[in-house]
Parts: sequence; structure tokens; C-alpha cells
Amino acid sequence: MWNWIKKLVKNGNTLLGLIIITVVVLYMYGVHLERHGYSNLLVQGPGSKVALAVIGLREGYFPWTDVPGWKGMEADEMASSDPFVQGMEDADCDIEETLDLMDQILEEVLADSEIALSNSQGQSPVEYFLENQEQHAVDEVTQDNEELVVDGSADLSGFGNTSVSDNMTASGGNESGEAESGRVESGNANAGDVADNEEQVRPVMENVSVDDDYFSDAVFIGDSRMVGVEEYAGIDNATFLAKVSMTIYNMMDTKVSLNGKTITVREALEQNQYGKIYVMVGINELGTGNTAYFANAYASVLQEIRELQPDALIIIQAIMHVTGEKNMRDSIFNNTNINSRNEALKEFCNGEDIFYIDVNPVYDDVNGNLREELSADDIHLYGNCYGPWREFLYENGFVR
Amino acid sequence: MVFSSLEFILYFLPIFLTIYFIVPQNKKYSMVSKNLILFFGSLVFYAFGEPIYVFLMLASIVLNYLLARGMDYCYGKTAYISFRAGLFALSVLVNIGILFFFKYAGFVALNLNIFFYQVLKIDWITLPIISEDSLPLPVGISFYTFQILSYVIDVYKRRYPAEKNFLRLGTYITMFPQLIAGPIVKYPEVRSRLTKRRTTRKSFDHGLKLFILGLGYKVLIANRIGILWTEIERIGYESISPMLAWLGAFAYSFQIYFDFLGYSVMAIGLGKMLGIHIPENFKDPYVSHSVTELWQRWHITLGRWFREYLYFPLGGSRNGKLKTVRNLFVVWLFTGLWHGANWNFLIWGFGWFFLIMIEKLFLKKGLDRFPLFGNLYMLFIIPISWVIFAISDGNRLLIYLSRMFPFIPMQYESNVNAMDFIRYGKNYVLLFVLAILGCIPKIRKTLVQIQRKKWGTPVSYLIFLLCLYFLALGLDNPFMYYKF
Repeated sequence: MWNWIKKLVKNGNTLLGLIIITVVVLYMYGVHLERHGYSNLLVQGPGSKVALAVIGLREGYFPWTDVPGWKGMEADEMASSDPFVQGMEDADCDIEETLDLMDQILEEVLADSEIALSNSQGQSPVEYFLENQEQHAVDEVTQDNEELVVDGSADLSGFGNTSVSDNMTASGGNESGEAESGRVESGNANAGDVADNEEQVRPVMENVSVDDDYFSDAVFIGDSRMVGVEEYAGIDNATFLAKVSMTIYNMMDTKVSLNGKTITVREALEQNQYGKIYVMVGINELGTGNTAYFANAYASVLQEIRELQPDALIIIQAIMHVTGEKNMRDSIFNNTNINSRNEALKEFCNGEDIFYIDVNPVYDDVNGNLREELSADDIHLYGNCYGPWREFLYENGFVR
Repeated sequence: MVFSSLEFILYFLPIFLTIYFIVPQNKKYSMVSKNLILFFGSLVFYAFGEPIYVFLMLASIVLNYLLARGMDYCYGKTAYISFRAGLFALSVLVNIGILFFFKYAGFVALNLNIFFYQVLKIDWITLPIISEDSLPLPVGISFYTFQILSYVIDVYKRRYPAEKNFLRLGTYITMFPQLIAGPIVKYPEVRSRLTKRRTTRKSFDHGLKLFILGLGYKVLIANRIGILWTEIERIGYESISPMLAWLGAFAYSFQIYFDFLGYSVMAIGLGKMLGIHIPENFKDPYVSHSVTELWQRWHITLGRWFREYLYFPLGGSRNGKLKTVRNLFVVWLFTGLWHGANWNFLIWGFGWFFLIMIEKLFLKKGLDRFPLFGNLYMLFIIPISWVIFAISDGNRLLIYLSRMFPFIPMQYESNVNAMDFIRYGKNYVLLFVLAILGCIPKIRKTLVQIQRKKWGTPVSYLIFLLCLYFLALGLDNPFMYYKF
């Protein structure tokens, strides 16, 4: 074969020779990548190895051999062996049981996984979080006749003392029965009434109505859906570090424009201190890895954000659903996968300085899919549909 | 299968070319073998996307082959004159019938139903409509049907004898460079190459470079500038600013041009690699000074088809002003309809008719005298015409037009981000510059020189790498004229 190529080149078909060599090299590189556990679910079918090589060169590699349970499976198998997806499918309709099961699975998965990053005490990011959540737990605050139930002890054996109470969203009813620590808001919680820990921690009022000033020290980091909010929700005094195709894997290094300068998200968080940090990514990552892999990466990013912004409240926004059409057709971008990842994200909420809000009930139909008439491409909202999102953000503020 | 896809470039084409060139060129059996390989290769190419409809196409070729030979047999025998005409009529009916059935039956049935119900108030007639999902349109049917028709009509008119060799006829109709999306090749243009053709290393190299140039037009310019239109759809036509509306219209105009141009150039390049001459389909249409000139430069093979097989048979412009108007009207309505089975295509075709009428009557003289005015006039007309072409839903079309012309009053819920054209536009500055450059005749002709000049090889290689990059990232939008 080598002689054949040389003959082609010598006889003036340099171009053909160059092309053949390039393609063969890329193909071999793609095969090499696959053998070592790199992959991208979006690249399937003919030319996938070459495409993988190109994507690998461009975006970096996401090695999966560290992820528990991965053994070079196909995309379909991957989704169905995803413990979260499995858990949700196995459980019957009993909500409590479903939640317990998911708890269990998350605990097992997170315990088993070997996470690359670890802090000086040899803890993985997730372990660090879990530990700190217990430290910061505030059990109860009573005030006058009202019971302010702030559930901080999100220990994984259960969802704590939850009441499936008011949802965090404008419309009622959330069929997954979100029992993330339900809260009752109180008008005047005083810092002094809080049961003190070693550190003086002021409680946070959750899901309160806020006004424009609230957003002046808020920053929204996210992907193309966040760009939509930036462009059409009319929250003009907030800072937006949003970019189409942002993922949790590239978030901190993504270049954004702030005050006329182009800097990375990391630099933006180094140079400015914010009161609230809203994070919304997840849809673009559906083609890479599984939920545990995603959750790991998310944990490290949260860790880094926390170090850069010790006083800020971090508010994780759930991944928005896709429409029923897309849900049915697409084996990767569907709401089952989205929901499983959202369940993992919920776990990061500690009721103290990391929270979780979900805009989906605002836009979902009765089946839990994004309403068809709200989107042209089954993924993004029309420009004139952002009013409810804006309202949702205004009605679900987090104030110390 | 689309030319601008990894499966074509990395799988089909290398395998096909290897098999094709393993057969030596100078032997007695060369032509038959090569035609066989091309014929079957093209069937495989077509079957890849249309595993069932490939038989429809085969059946059509067999039928037309037999009918054409029958017409030749009948010629000269007075007893068979009307039989010959009958064979011809049968052929035309079957060809157009198949096209009608797959492409237009639903549209016609839908509108007849509305007519019966709303206008005549008859509610007991309901014509069945087979939905697009249960009966999809066979890819390329508009192109190969017209190609077959041109052959059959030419044989009837005795322009040349019917092809006796079924393989040659089959190869002519199915050859994959022009099967899916034209250019619409006339039989005499390839007949000689079907009996004898050669590829030299040089011509292969030229063909490859041309193919890569076409690929670049499509993947690097068309597919990417087309994303702006997708983004506008995503925002929703109600919520775009007028500037963005116009920007989008220009982006779509560039997209459809470079898409189709790319495909046509790829076809010519592939033909060169195989030793077959495929005619040009575009001659810098966007520098035209009038609509008349535009259609001499845009989709040339379609324009000549309608002129030769519809306009001239109807009498052309030789029978007085009234007949000319009628003939133009028919031709343009059918041209519009050929592009799609929907009212907006009819309106689009009618728009061209109207402008051509005006030009014929008085405007053309003015445009010829002031070419700059002609260019500006076309720069205004072209984007608007493509918007009408692009949006089939009447309501949404009106909304878009009202965004382009904000003084048209329309009521809808709108949430415009005033800076949207800057936000979106700035990502496309380079693409617009490239697109505009690509429309300038001098520059385009220089690009075509990629085949012969020394810089051709490195530039081709670079374009190839870039295309590979974007294709790998998933930007192979299907060819826009693909639904034809």
C-alpha cells in the first residue's frame, strides 16, 4: 500500500495522495481513541472514527474507563444501563419508593466512583460537599407562630424531613413529586434566631419574590438556553456569562464577553464577586458519558466556583426539557435522560448556599415534555416565550 | 446519500472509484464494464437513501426505453402513425403521472376538498390525501423525470434515434453525479461519452479539485451561513428586528445559491473524474441586472428545459403579444410548481412572471441603460423572493414580510431584542464576506482555476481539511433542493 501511495504522489496526484494519507491517519487515531475508552455518543455511523478523531483533537477527551459500569457499550445500552435511568424505570409509581431507590443508587454510584480531583485531605469533591452539608445543617428555626422549616441535612439516606410542599415554581403540580426539601417561606427570619454553629451562618430565604435590584449582583452562567434568557427575558442589570454549546466540561474555560472584554468564565469569577450565581448547563452533555460522569464533573466545577466566590449563593437551574416530539424520536436528547441528570443535580442542593430551581413546570405539558408550540426546534423557546421564565426568576429569589 | 457527507466521501466514493479504475481503460470490454459499474454503482447510491423507490426508477427507465424504441420502430410506417403518437402520449402520461402522484396529488386533493367544501358547499366529496409520512417523496424524482422526458420528447421529435443499448440509457438516467440534484443533462451531451471515454491522471486531478471546491461552497459557506436562518426560526419570526429579518433573507439567499452551486460543481467534478461532461448550471446569477438575466444564469439546465419543452412548443414569443403573455404565464407557474407543491411556490413563480412581463414591456430598456440601478433592483428583489420561497406557511410568511417591512400592520405577540442583528450578525461577518466574494465573477473564475494553477493543490487540501472538520462536527445539512 505504501508503494501505491508513493506512485500516486510521484505521478502528480499529490492531492489524492495527501487526502488518502490524512484520512487513514485520522481513522487510525480514531480507532486508537475508541480503544482507550474515549467516545462521543453523537458520532455514530459511517465515518464515526474519523469524526471522533477530529472531535477529539478539537474538544479534548473524556475518558470513560474510569466511570463505573462502562464497558464499551453502545449508546442505547449506555442509557439503559445508566443507574439513574434504570432506577426510574424499575421503580413503580410509589413516589417515596422511587425517591428512596434513587437515593440509594446515587449513594452507591458516588461511593464507587474514583474521582480525579481530590482535596488536601484526599476527599473527592462530592465527599467534600457531603461532609460540609452535614456541618452546615440547620435543623429548625422557630419564630413566633410560624415554623420555618429549613432542611439542611440532605443526608443521602433519605430526603430528610421533607414535606412535599409548595413547589418552587409558578405552576402547581410536578409529577415527579419533587420532594427536594420543601420550604415554607417566612417574612422575617432574623439572623440572630438561628441556632448557631461554629460559624455564624445566616439563613437564606428561599423562593421569595424579588425586585430588579436583586439581579444587580447576580450572574447567570449557562448554555444556549441561558443565552435565550439573556436576550429575551429582559433582566438587564444581571451579568450573563452564557454561550451556546457551553458544557460543564468546558464551562470555566469558555470565553465570554464582560464589559467589552473577552475573558474566560473562570477569570470573570476571579475578578468580580457576585451575590448569586445561577448555573444552567446539561443539554449539550447528553451525548457524552452518563449521569455519574456528568455529576462528577459538575461537582468539581461547583467546588471551584465555591473557592472563587466564598460568599455567593449558587443556584443550580435544572436542565430544561425537550418537546414530546424530540423525546420520542431521539435516543440521546430526551426527557428521561434529562430527568435523570436533574435528579443528580438536585443532590447538590444543601439548603445553605447551594440551591436548585426547576423552570420546567412553567413550560411543560401534562406529560412532562416541553410544550410543542413554544419551540421551533424542539429545544429552544421562541423569543416571545420568555416572559414566564422571567416571572419565575423574580418569584424564586434567594435572599440572605 | 448526499455528496457532502462523510459516508459519501469516506465510504462510497473511494470504493466506487477503486472498482471503476481497476478496470483498464483501453480494452474491448472497458466501456461496457465501466458503464455497468457506473450504472450499478448509481443504483446502490440511490438505494442507500431510497431502498424501495430505486425499483420505481428502474421500472420507469425500462418502460421509457421500450416506448422510445417502439416509437422509432413505428416511424415511417403510415399505419402506425397514430400508434406512435399513442406511445408518446403514454410515456408522457406515465412519467408525469408518477411525478404528480408522489409530489402533487396531496396538494391538489387538499385544495379540491377545500374548494368543494367551502366554495361549492358540497360535503360529500372528500378526496383521500396520503400524508407525506406514509408516502415520502422519492428523492430526485423531479430531476430524473425531467431528464427522461427530455429524452422521450427528443426521440419523438426525431432529434436522434432511440438508444438501443439499455445499459447506456440506464447509465445516462441514473449516473449518480447528477441523479439526485441535477444538472438536468440532455442525452446528446453525454451520448458520445457513453460509448467512449477516458480519464487521464490530469483530468482526474482536475475533477477532484473541482469536487473539493464544490464541497467547500456547500460545507464552508452554505451550511454555515444557513445557520443564521435556523437561528431566526428558533427565535420566532415575530420577535426579530427588521435588520435581522433582512440579514436573514440575505443569508438564505446566499445559502441556497452556494448550496446548489456547490452541488452542481461537485457534479461536474465527479463527472470529470469519470470522463463524463456535465453542463454548467450557474453563471454568477447574483450579478444580474434584471430578472430576465437572472434566469439565464440561475439553474440554467432547468430554464433551458422549460424553454425547449414547454415555451417553444406553446409558441414562444412568435404568435403575438397576448400568446406570449399566456406562454410566459404557463411556463413560470410550472417553474414555481416544480420547486414545490405549495401555494408559496406558485406565488413565487407568479412573481417572476410578473417582473419578467414588466421588464419585457418597458423596464428592461431602463435596466440596460443603467446597470447599477439594475444591480440594486436585483439586490432588493432577490432576498424577498427567497423569503417567499422559503416559508410555506402563509401566516408565518406574512409575519416575516411584515418584519422586513415594518410599516405593514399585523397583530402578533412580539418580543424583539433590539440588538439582535448585532449579536447574531457579528458571528457571520466572515461568512458574508466570503459569500459576497464568491458571487463576484472574477473571483469565482479564479477559484475555478484551482484545477490548473500551482496553488490548486495546497488550497484544495486546505479546503478538504476544513470541510472534514465541519462535517465531523455534524454540519452536513441536507441539500436544500434535495426534496426534489
